[in-house]
Amino acid sequence: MYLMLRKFIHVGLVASAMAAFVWAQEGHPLTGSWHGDWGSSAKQRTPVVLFMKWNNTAVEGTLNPGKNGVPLKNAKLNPADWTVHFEADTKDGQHIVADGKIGDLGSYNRTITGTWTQGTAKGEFKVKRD
Amino acid sequence: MKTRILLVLGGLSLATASLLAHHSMSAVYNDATPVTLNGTVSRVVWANPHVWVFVDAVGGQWEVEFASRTELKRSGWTGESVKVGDVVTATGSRARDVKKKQVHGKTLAIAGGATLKEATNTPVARGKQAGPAPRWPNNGHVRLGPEPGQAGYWANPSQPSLFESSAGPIRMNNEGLLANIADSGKVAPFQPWAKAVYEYRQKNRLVDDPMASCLPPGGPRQFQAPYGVQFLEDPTRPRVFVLSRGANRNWRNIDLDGRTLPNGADVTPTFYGYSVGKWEGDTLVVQTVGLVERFWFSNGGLPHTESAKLTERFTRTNADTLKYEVTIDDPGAYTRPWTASWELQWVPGEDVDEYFCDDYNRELEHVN
Repeated sequence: MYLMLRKFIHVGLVASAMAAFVWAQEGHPLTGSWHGDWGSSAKQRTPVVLFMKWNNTAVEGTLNPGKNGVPLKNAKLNPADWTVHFEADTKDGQHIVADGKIGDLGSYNRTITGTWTQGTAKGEFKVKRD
Repeated sequence: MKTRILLVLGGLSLATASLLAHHSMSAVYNDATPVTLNGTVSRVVWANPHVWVFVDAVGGQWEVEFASRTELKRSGWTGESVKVGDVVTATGSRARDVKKKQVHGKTLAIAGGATLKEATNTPVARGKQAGPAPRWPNNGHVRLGPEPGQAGYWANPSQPSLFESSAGPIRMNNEGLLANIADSGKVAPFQPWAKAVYEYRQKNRLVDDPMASCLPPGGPRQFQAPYGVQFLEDPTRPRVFVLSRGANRNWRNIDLDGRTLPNGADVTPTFYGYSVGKWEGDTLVVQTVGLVERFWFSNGGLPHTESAKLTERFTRTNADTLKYEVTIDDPGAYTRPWTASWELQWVPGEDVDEYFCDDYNRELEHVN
Protein backbone atom coordinates (compact mmCIF):
# COMPACT_ATOMS: atom_id res chain seq x y z
CA MET A 1 0.00 0.00 0.00
CA TYR A 2 2.81 2.34 0.95
CA LEU A 3 4.65 1.54 -2.29
CA MET A 4 1.49 2.14 -4.31
CA LEU A 5 0.98 5.48 -2.58
CA ARG A 6 4.62 6.44 -3.16
CA LYS A 7 4.32 5.46 -6.84
CA PHE A 8 1.12 7.46 -7.15
CA ILE A 9 2.77 10.53 -5.62
CA HIS A 10 5.81 10.08 -7.84
CA VAL A 11 3.64 9.87 -10.98
CA GLY A 12 1.71 12.91 -9.83
CA LEU A 13 4.86 14.92 -9.31
CA VAL A 14 6.21 13.94 -12.72
CA ALA A 15 2.89 14.82 -14.34
CA SER A 16 2.89 18.17 -12.56
CA ALA A 17 6.39 18.89 -13.74
CA MET A 18 5.48 17.89 -17.29
CA ALA A 19 2.43 20.15 -17.18
CA ALA A 20 4.63 23.08 -16.24
CA PHE A 21 6.62 22.57 -19.41
CA VAL A 22 3.70 22.04 -21.77
CA TRP A 23 2.79 25.72 -21.69
CA ALA A 24 5.74 27.90 -22.47
CA GLN A 25 6.00 31.63 -22.04
CA GLU A 26 4.01 34.07 -24.17
CA GLY A 27 6.19 37.13 -23.54
CA HIS A 28 9.45 37.70 -25.38
CA PRO A 29 9.70 35.14 -28.22
CA LEU A 30 13.13 33.86 -27.16
CA THR A 31 12.42 33.45 -23.46
CA GLY A 32 12.39 29.81 -22.43
CA SER A 33 14.25 26.51 -22.82
CA TRP A 34 15.08 25.12 -26.24
CA HIS A 35 16.22 21.63 -27.21
CA GLY A 36 17.71 20.43 -30.51
CA ASP A 37 21.00 19.68 -32.18
CA TRP A 38 23.58 20.91 -34.66
CA GLY A 39 25.90 19.20 -37.11
CA SER A 40 27.35 19.15 -40.57
CA SER A 41 25.25 16.20 -41.74
CA ALA A 42 22.19 14.22 -40.79
CA LYS A 43 24.38 11.55 -39.18
CA GLN A 44 26.75 13.80 -37.26
CA ARG A 45 24.61 15.60 -34.73
CA THR A 46 25.47 17.16 -31.39
CA PRO A 47 22.71 17.86 -28.87
CA VAL A 48 22.07 21.50 -28.03
CA VAL A 49 20.18 22.92 -25.07
CA LEU A 50 19.57 26.67 -24.90
CA PHE A 51 18.12 28.68 -22.07
CA MET A 52 17.29 32.27 -22.97
CA LYS A 53 15.63 35.09 -21.08
CA TRP A 54 14.76 38.67 -21.99
CA ASN A 55 16.00 40.96 -19.20
CA ASN A 56 13.99 43.97 -20.45
CA THR A 57 16.87 45.32 -22.54
CA ALA A 58 18.80 42.32 -23.88
CA VAL A 59 18.64 38.57 -24.33
CA GLU A 60 20.80 36.63 -21.88
CA GLY A 61 21.18 32.93 -21.48
CA THR A 62 23.21 29.77 -21.27
CA LEU A 63 24.28 27.20 -23.83
CA ASN A 64 24.01 23.65 -22.51
CA PRO A 65 23.14 24.52 -18.90
CA GLY A 66 24.94 22.32 -16.37
CA LYS A 67 28.56 21.40 -15.84
CA ASN A 68 29.46 22.34 -19.43
CA GLY A 69 27.23 25.38 -19.57
CA VAL A 70 28.62 28.59 -20.99
CA PRO A 71 26.98 32.01 -21.23
CA LEU A 72 25.53 33.28 -24.48
CA LYS A 73 27.14 36.37 -25.93
CA ASN A 74 25.72 38.97 -28.31
CA ALA A 75 22.35 37.25 -28.30
CA LYS A 76 19.98 39.29 -30.44
CA LEU A 77 16.53 39.06 -31.98
CA ASN A 78 15.63 41.13 -35.02
CA PRO A 79 11.83 41.44 -34.87
CA ALA A 80 11.71 42.82 -38.41
CA ASP A 81 12.37 39.36 -39.83
CA TRP A 82 12.57 37.19 -36.66
CA THR A 83 16.23 36.39 -37.20
CA VAL A 84 18.30 35.36 -34.19
CA HIS A 85 22.03 35.66 -33.58
CA PHE A 86 24.09 34.45 -30.65
CA GLU A 87 27.64 33.49 -29.84
CA ALA A 88 29.37 31.53 -27.11
CA ASP A 89 32.79 30.19 -26.18
CA THR A 90 33.00 26.56 -25.11
CA LYS A 91 35.10 25.57 -22.13
CA ASP A 92 37.73 24.14 -24.46
CA GLY A 93 38.05 27.45 -26.24
CA GLN A 94 35.98 26.99 -29.37
CA HIS A 95 34.04 30.02 -30.51
CA ILE A 96 30.45 29.40 -31.57
CA VAL A 97 28.48 31.65 -33.88
CA ALA A 98 24.84 30.81 -34.64
CA ASP A 99 22.52 32.65 -37.00
CA GLY A 100 18.98 31.42 -37.38
CA LYS A 101 15.37 32.35 -37.83
CA ILE A 102 12.32 31.73 -35.69
CA GLY A 103 9.73 29.47 -37.29
CA ASP A 104 6.09 29.01 -36.29
CA LEU A 105 6.25 32.05 -34.03
CA GLY A 106 2.69 31.72 -32.78
CA SER A 107 3.23 28.20 -31.50
CA TYR A 108 4.29 27.40 -27.97
CA ASN A 109 6.81 25.00 -29.52
CA ARG A 110 8.29 27.43 -32.00
CA THR A 111 11.65 26.65 -33.61
CA ILE A 112 14.92 28.31 -34.53
CA THR A 113 16.82 26.97 -37.54
CA GLY A 114 20.00 28.28 -39.11
CA THR A 115 23.75 27.98 -39.46
CA TRP A 116 26.16 26.98 -36.69
CA THR A 117 29.90 27.55 -36.70
CA GLN A 118 32.00 26.01 -33.93
CA GLY A 119 35.73 26.53 -34.26
CA THR A 120 36.50 25.49 -37.81
CA ALA A 121 33.46 23.23 -38.13
CA LYS A 122 30.36 24.46 -39.88
CA GLY A 123 26.88 23.04 -39.98
CA GLU A 124 23.24 23.82 -39.38
CA PHE A 125 21.14 23.69 -36.24
CA LYS A 126 17.54 23.39 -35.21
CA VAL A 127 16.10 23.86 -31.74
CA LYS A 128 12.51 23.71 -30.55
CA ARG A 129 11.19 25.53 -27.52
CA ASP A 130 10.00 23.27 -24.74
CA MET B 1 -37.41 15.48 -46.08
CA LYS B 2 -36.07 17.57 -48.86
CA THR B 3 -32.99 19.43 -47.86
CA ARG B 4 -31.02 22.00 -49.66
CA ILE B 5 -28.12 24.22 -49.03
CA LEU B 6 -27.53 27.64 -50.38
CA LEU B 7 -24.03 29.00 -50.24
CA VAL B 8 -23.89 32.67 -51.01
CA LEU B 9 -20.29 33.57 -51.54
CA GLY B 10 -20.62 37.28 -51.81
CA GLY B 11 -23.01 40.15 -52.07
CA LEU B 12 -25.16 39.14 -49.16
CA SER B 13 -24.06 41.04 -46.13
CA LEU B 14 -24.84 39.55 -42.78
CA ALA B 15 -24.42 41.54 -39.64
CA THR B 16 -20.75 40.97 -39.03
CA ALA B 17 -20.45 42.08 -35.46
CA SER B 18 -18.75 39.01 -34.09
CA LEU B 19 -19.69 38.11 -30.62
CA LEU B 20 -17.01 38.29 -28.04
CA ALA B 21 -16.07 34.71 -27.52
CA HIS B 22 -13.45 32.78 -25.68
CA HIS B 23 -11.65 32.40 -28.99
CA SER B 24 -11.44 34.60 -32.06
CA MET B 25 -14.37 33.84 -34.35
CA SER B 26 -12.55 35.76 -37.08
CA ALA B 27 -9.72 33.27 -36.90
CA VAL B 28 -12.03 30.36 -37.64
CA TYR B 29 -14.86 31.85 -39.70
CA ASN B 30 -15.05 34.19 -42.66
CA ASP B 31 -17.87 36.73 -42.53
CA ALA B 32 -17.40 37.30 -46.25
CA THR B 33 -18.80 33.83 -46.97
CA PRO B 34 -22.32 33.79 -45.57
CA VAL B 35 -24.14 30.49 -45.57
CA THR B 36 -27.78 29.42 -45.39
CA LEU B 37 -28.44 25.82 -44.42
CA ASN B 38 -31.80 24.08 -44.70
CA GLY B 39 -31.95 20.73 -43.00
CA THR B 40 -32.81 18.64 -39.99
CA VAL B 41 -31.21 18.84 -36.58
CA SER B 42 -29.36 15.61 -35.76
CA ARG B 43 -27.57 16.62 -32.55
CA VAL B 44 -27.57 19.49 -30.05
CA VAL B 45 -24.76 20.24 -27.61
CA TRP B 46 -26.03 22.77 -25.09
CA ALA B 47 -22.69 23.57 -23.51
CA ASN B 48 -19.97 26.12 -22.91
CA PRO B 49 -17.86 27.66 -24.30
CA HIS B 50 -20.11 27.39 -27.36
CA VAL B 51 -23.41 25.79 -28.22
CA TRP B 52 -23.32 23.49 -31.25
CA VAL B 53 -26.26 22.48 -33.43
CA PHE B 54 -25.58 19.72 -35.94
CA VAL B 55 -27.71 19.92 -39.08
CA ASP B 56 -28.08 17.21 -41.72
CA ALA B 57 -28.28 19.05 -45.01
CA VAL B 58 -26.93 18.73 -48.51
CA GLY B 59 -23.38 17.47 -48.33
CA GLY B 60 -23.82 15.67 -45.01
CA GLN B 61 -23.76 16.81 -41.40
CA TRP B 62 -22.97 20.50 -40.87
CA GLU B 63 -21.71 21.77 -37.53
CA VAL B 64 -23.18 25.13 -36.55
CA GLU B 65 -21.38 26.90 -33.72
CA PHE B 66 -23.22 29.55 -31.74
CA ALA B 67 -22.24 31.70 -28.77
CA SER B 68 -21.95 30.34 -25.26
CA ARG B 69 -24.87 28.90 -23.39
CA THR B 70 -24.53 31.89 -21.09
CA GLU B 71 -25.06 34.38 -23.90
CA LEU B 72 -27.77 32.43 -25.71
CA LYS B 73 -29.83 32.29 -22.54
CA ARG B 74 -29.88 36.07 -22.61
CA SER B 75 -31.35 35.90 -26.10
CA GLY B 76 -34.12 33.62 -24.89
CA TRP B 77 -32.65 30.24 -25.79
CA THR B 78 -32.98 27.30 -23.45
CA GLY B 79 -31.64 23.79 -23.62
CA GLU B 80 -35.02 22.80 -25.06
CA SER B 81 -35.24 25.46 -27.75
CA VAL B 82 -33.83 23.19 -30.44
CA LYS B 83 -34.45 19.46 -30.56
CA VAL B 84 -33.19 16.59 -32.63
CA GLY B 85 -35.55 16.21 -35.59
CA ASP B 86 -36.41 19.90 -35.87
CA VAL B 87 -36.47 21.18 -39.43
CA VAL B 88 -34.43 24.36 -39.42
CA THR B 89 -32.89 27.10 -41.50
CA ALA B 90 -29.56 28.26 -40.14
CA THR B 91 -27.67 31.31 -41.33
CA GLY B 92 -24.10 32.19 -40.54
CA SER B 93 -20.55 32.40 -41.78
CA ARG B 94 -18.60 29.50 -43.21
CA ALA B 95 -15.34 28.24 -41.73
CA ARG B 96 -12.20 29.56 -43.39
CA ASP B 97 -11.15 25.95 -43.78
CA VAL B 98 -13.68 25.08 -46.48
CA LYS B 99 -12.89 21.39 -46.12
CA LYS B 100 -14.89 21.57 -42.92
CA LYS B 101 -18.65 21.67 -43.01
CA GLN B 102 -18.66 24.16 -40.17
CA VAL B 103 -20.58 27.41 -39.72
CA HIS B 104 -20.64 30.23 -37.18
CA GLY B 105 -24.38 30.46 -36.65
CA LYS B 106 -26.15 33.82 -36.51
CA THR B 107 -29.80 32.73 -36.68
CA LEU B 108 -31.69 29.47 -36.44
CA ALA B 109 -35.28 29.41 -37.70
CA ILE B 110 -37.30 26.38 -36.62
CA ALA B 111 -40.02 25.38 -39.07
CA GLY B 112 -43.36 26.39 -37.61
CA GLY B 113 -41.63 27.89 -34.59
CA ALA B 114 -39.38 30.62 -33.40
CA THR B 115 -36.36 32.17 -35.01
CA LEU B 116 -33.49 32.10 -32.55
CA LYS B 117 -30.73 34.64 -32.82
CA GLU B 118 -27.25 34.69 -31.43
CA ALA B 119 -26.88 37.12 -28.56
CA THR B 120 -25.25 40.45 -29.11
CA ASN B 121 -23.32 42.58 -26.72
CA THR B 122 -25.77 45.39 -27.05
CA PRO B 123 -25.81 47.17 -23.71
CA VAL B 124 -28.77 46.48 -21.54
CA ALA B 125 -31.34 49.23 -21.94
CA ARG B 126 -31.59 51.56 -18.98
CA GLY B 127 -35.11 52.34 -17.98
CA LYS B 128 -34.19 55.62 -16.36
CA GLN B 129 -31.22 57.65 -15.36
CA ALA B 130 -28.93 55.64 -13.14
CA GLY B 131 -29.09 56.33 -9.45
CA PRO B 132 -26.12 56.96 -7.19
CA ALA B 133 -23.63 54.21 -6.48
CA PRO B 134 -24.75 52.10 -3.51
CA ARG B 135 -22.61 52.21 -0.38
CA TRP B 136 -21.70 50.00 2.55
CA PRO B 137 -23.47 51.14 5.72
CA ASN B 138 -20.50 50.62 8.04
CA ASN B 139 -17.73 52.57 6.33
CA GLY B 140 -19.49 54.43 3.52
CA HIS B 141 -17.36 52.88 0.79
CA VAL B 142 -18.96 52.41 -2.56
CA ARG B 143 -20.21 48.88 -3.16
CA LEU B 144 -18.62 47.22 -6.17
CA GLY B 145 -21.07 44.33 -6.16
CA PRO B 146 -24.84 44.06 -5.84
CA GLU B 147 -26.82 45.41 -2.94
CA PRO B 148 -28.19 42.90 -0.41
CA GLY B 149 -30.95 40.78 -1.88
CA GLN B 150 -30.18 41.85 -5.42
CA ALA B 151 -28.24 40.36 -8.31
CA GLY B 152 -26.11 41.84 -11.04
CA TYR B 153 -22.62 41.98 -12.50
CA TRP B 154 -20.43 44.14 -14.73
CA ALA B 155 -20.18 43.63 -18.49
CA ASN B 156 -20.34 45.35 -21.87
CA PRO B 157 -16.98 47.17 -21.81
CA SER B 158 -17.08 50.44 -23.72
CA GLN B 159 -14.08 49.42 -25.78
CA PRO B 160 -13.15 45.92 -26.92
CA SER B 161 -9.44 45.96 -26.32
CA LEU B 162 -6.61 47.74 -24.63
CA PHE B 163 -5.07 50.84 -26.18
CA GLU B 164 -3.46 53.96 -24.82
CA SER B 165 -6.10 56.51 -23.85
CA SER B 166 -4.12 59.43 -25.27
CA ALA B 167 -4.16 57.80 -28.71
CA GLY B 168 -7.86 58.56 -29.06
CA PRO B 169 -10.28 56.11 -30.65
CA ILE B 170 -8.67 53.34 -32.68
CA ARG B 171 -10.93 51.39 -34.99
CA MET B 172 -11.05 47.69 -34.17
CA ASN B 173 -13.70 45.01 -34.04
CA ASN B 174 -14.93 43.59 -30.78
CA GLU B 175 -12.31 40.86 -30.85
CA GLY B 176 -9.65 43.59 -30.76
CA LEU B 177 -8.65 43.19 -34.42
CA LEU B 178 -7.50 46.50 -35.86
CA ALA B 179 -9.36 47.85 -38.87
CA ASN B 180 -6.00 49.11 -40.09
CA ILE B 181 -2.84 47.32 -39.03
CA ALA B 182 -0.95 50.57 -39.61
CA ASP B 183 -2.60 51.81 -36.40
CA SER B 184 -0.63 49.31 -34.32
CA GLY B 185 1.92 51.91 -33.33
CA LYS B 186 -0.83 54.00 -31.71
CA VAL B 187 -2.04 51.18 -29.49
CA ALA B 188 0.82 51.30 -26.99
CA PRO B 189 4.46 52.48 -26.67
CA PHE B 190 5.82 49.10 -27.71
CA GLN B 191 9.36 47.90 -27.60
CA PRO B 192 10.19 46.73 -31.16
CA TRP B 193 9.83 43.02 -30.37
CA ALA B 194 6.49 43.57 -28.62
CA LYS B 195 5.10 45.55 -31.56
CA ALA B 196 6.20 42.83 -33.96
CA VAL B 197 4.57 40.13 -31.81
CA TYR B 198 1.35 42.18 -31.58
CA GLU B 199 1.26 42.66 -35.36
CA TYR B 200 1.97 38.97 -35.93
CA ARG B 201 -0.99 38.00 -33.76
CA GLN B 202 -3.21 40.55 -35.50
CA LYS B 203 -2.25 39.33 -38.96
CA ASN B 204 -3.03 35.78 -37.87
CA ARG B 205 -6.47 36.86 -36.61
CA LEU B 206 -5.59 35.95 -33.02
CA VAL B 207 -5.61 32.25 -33.83
CA ASP B 208 -3.02 31.42 -31.16
CA ASP B 209 -4.96 33.05 -28.32
CA PRO B 210 -4.32 31.10 -25.08
CA MET B 211 -7.90 31.84 -23.99
CA ALA B 212 -9.05 29.46 -26.72
CA SER B 213 -7.51 26.69 -24.65
CA CYS B 214 -9.39 27.97 -21.59
CA LEU B 215 -6.51 29.77 -19.87
CA PRO B 216 -7.76 32.66 -17.70
CA PRO B 217 -7.92 36.27 -18.93
CA GLY B 218 -5.39 37.84 -16.59
CA GLY B 219 -4.45 41.50 -16.21
CA PRO B 220 -6.66 44.16 -17.78
CA ARG B 221 -8.18 41.57 -20.11
CA GLN B 222 -10.29 40.39 -17.19
CA PHE B 223 -12.40 43.51 -17.66
CA GLN B 224 -12.87 43.06 -21.40
CA ALA B 225 -13.33 39.30 -21.45
CA PRO B 226 -16.61 37.74 -22.52
CA TYR B 227 -19.54 37.62 -20.15
CA GLY B 228 -18.30 40.15 -17.61
CA VAL B 229 -17.07 40.11 -14.04
CA GLN B 230 -18.54 40.10 -10.57
CA PHE B 231 -17.07 41.70 -7.44
CA LEU B 232 -17.50 39.89 -4.16
CA GLU B 233 -16.41 42.07 -1.24
CA ASP B 234 -15.33 40.35 1.96
CA PRO B 235 -15.18 43.02 4.67
CA THR B 236 -14.09 40.57 7.36
CA ARG B 237 -10.54 40.07 6.04
CA PRO B 238 -10.81 42.54 4.18
CA ARG B 239 -10.42 41.67 0.51
CA VAL B 240 -12.23 41.69 -2.81
CA PHE B 241 -12.74 38.70 -5.08
CA VAL B 242 -13.14 39.42 -8.77
CA LEU B 243 -15.04 36.58 -10.39
CA SER B 244 -14.48 36.15 -14.11
CA ARG B 245 -17.81 35.09 -15.53
CA GLY B 246 -16.28 33.52 -18.62
CA ALA B 247 -13.20 31.93 -17.12
CA ASN B 248 -13.97 28.58 -15.57
CA ARG B 249 -15.42 30.07 -12.40
CA ASN B 250 -12.02 31.19 -11.23
CA TRP B 251 -11.35 34.32 -9.24
CA ARG B 252 -8.80 36.98 -8.56
CA ASN B 253 -7.97 38.06 -5.02
CA ILE B 254 -7.30 41.69 -4.04
CA ASP B 255 -6.15 42.17 -0.46
CA LEU B 256 -7.28 45.35 1.28
CA ASP B 257 -5.74 44.62 4.70
CA GLY B 258 -2.95 47.15 4.44
CA ARG B 259 -0.21 44.72 3.48
CA THR B 260 2.72 45.95 1.45
CA LEU B 261 2.99 45.11 -2.23
CA PRO B 262 5.88 42.65 -2.59
CA ASN B 263 8.67 42.98 -5.09
CA GLY B 264 7.47 41.37 -8.31
CA ALA B 265 10.62 39.28 -8.58
CA ASP B 266 9.79 37.69 -5.21
CA VAL B 267 6.35 36.52 -6.28
CA THR B 268 5.65 33.25 -8.08
CA PRO B 269 3.96 34.50 -11.26
CA THR B 270 0.29 33.64 -11.72
CA PHE B 271 -2.47 34.56 -14.16
CA TYR B 272 -4.02 37.18 -11.90
CA GLY B 273 -0.88 38.10 -10.00
CA TYR B 274 -0.53 39.45 -6.47
CA SER B 275 -2.87 42.39 -5.90
CA VAL B 276 -3.03 44.88 -3.05
CA GLY B 277 -5.68 47.59 -2.92
CA LYS B 278 -6.81 50.58 -0.90
CA TRP B 279 -9.62 53.08 -1.13
CA GLU B 280 -8.82 56.63 -2.19
CA GLY B 281 -12.15 58.41 -1.78
CA ASP B 282 -14.63 56.57 -3.99
CA THR B 283 -11.91 54.88 -6.04
CA LEU B 284 -10.39 51.50 -5.27
CA VAL B 285 -6.74 51.69 -6.26
CA VAL B 286 -5.09 48.31 -6.85
CA GLN B 287 -1.47 47.49 -7.56
CA THR B 288 -0.51 44.14 -9.02
CA VAL B 289 2.78 42.34 -9.66
CA GLY B 290 3.69 38.74 -10.35
CA LEU B 291 1.82 38.17 -13.61
CA VAL B 292 2.84 35.08 -15.53
CA GLU B 293 3.52 35.51 -19.26
CA ARG B 294 1.28 32.62 -20.30
CA PHE B 295 -1.70 34.74 -21.31
CA TRP B 296 -2.41 37.65 -23.63
CA PHE B 297 -2.81 41.00 -21.97
CA SER B 298 -5.75 42.00 -24.16
CA ASN B 299 -8.27 40.66 -26.62
CA GLY B 300 -6.19 42.03 -29.49
CA GLY B 301 -3.03 40.14 -28.48
CA LEU B 302 -0.91 42.64 -26.57
CA PRO B 303 2.14 40.96 -25.04
CA HIS B 304 3.60 41.55 -21.60
CA THR B 305 6.46 40.26 -19.48
CA GLU B 306 6.85 39.19 -15.88
CA SER B 307 8.28 42.65 -15.16
CA ALA B 308 4.79 44.11 -15.51
CA LYS B 309 3.33 46.16 -12.67
CA LEU B 310 -0.27 47.33 -12.92
CA THR B 311 -2.00 50.18 -11.17
CA GLU B 312 -5.76 49.87 -11.58
CA ARG B 313 -8.39 52.36 -10.49
CA PHE B 314 -12.01 51.23 -10.06
CA THR B 315 -14.60 53.98 -9.70
CA ARG B 316 -18.32 53.24 -9.60
CA THR B 317 -19.49 56.61 -10.83
CA ASN B 318 -23.15 55.69 -10.45
CA ALA B 319 -25.24 52.57 -9.87
CA ASP B 320 -24.84 51.43 -13.48
CA THR B 321 -21.33 52.53 -14.43
CA LEU B 322 -17.89 51.34 -13.39
CA LYS B 323 -14.95 53.31 -14.69
CA TYR B 324 -11.81 51.18 -15.06
CA GLU B 325 -8.40 52.71 -15.56
CA VAL B 326 -5.13 50.82 -15.76
CA THR B 327 -1.56 52.07 -15.92
CA ILE B 328 0.85 49.50 -17.28
CA ASP B 329 4.47 49.72 -16.24
CA ASP B 330 6.23 46.92 -18.07
CA PRO B 331 9.77 47.85 -19.10
CA GLY B 332 10.15 44.42 -20.67
CA ALA B 333 7.58 45.10 -23.38
CA TYR B 334 6.93 48.86 -23.41
CA THR B 335 9.19 51.89 -23.53
CA ARG B 336 7.32 53.81 -20.80
CA PRO B 337 4.32 53.44 -18.49
CA TRP B 338 1.01 54.01 -20.26
CA THR B 339 -2.65 54.24 -19.35
CA ALA B 340 -5.89 52.95 -20.77
CA SER B 341 -9.44 53.28 -19.48
CA TRP B 342 -12.97 52.24 -20.29
CA GLU B 343 -16.32 51.76 -18.65
CA LEU B 344 -18.28 48.67 -17.71
CA GLN B 345 -22.04 48.54 -17.46
CA TRP B 346 -24.07 47.07 -14.62
CA VAL B 347 -26.26 44.19 -15.77
CA PRO B 348 -29.05 44.09 -13.19
CA GLY B 349 -31.03 41.08 -12.07
CA GLU B 350 -28.67 38.39 -13.38
CA ASP B 351 -26.21 36.35 -11.42
CA VAL B 352 -22.95 34.76 -12.45
CA ASP B 353 -23.69 31.51 -14.24
CA GLU B 354 -21.70 28.35 -14.03
CA TYR B 355 -19.27 28.45 -16.94
CA PHE B 356 -16.61 25.90 -17.70
CA CYS B 357 -14.73 26.66 -20.87
CA ASP B 358 -13.51 23.10 -21.19
CA ASP B 359 -17.00 21.62 -20.97
CA TYR B 360 -17.13 21.13 -24.73
CA ASN B 361 -14.09 22.92 -26.09
CA ARG B 362 -13.45 22.07 -29.71
CA GLU B 363 -11.06 24.96 -30.27
CA LEU B 364 -7.90 23.29 -28.99
CA GLU B 365 -7.06 22.33 -32.58
CA HIS B 366 -6.79 26.05 -33.40
CA VAL B 367 -4.31 26.75 -30.64
CA ASN B 368 -1.14 24.94 -31.56
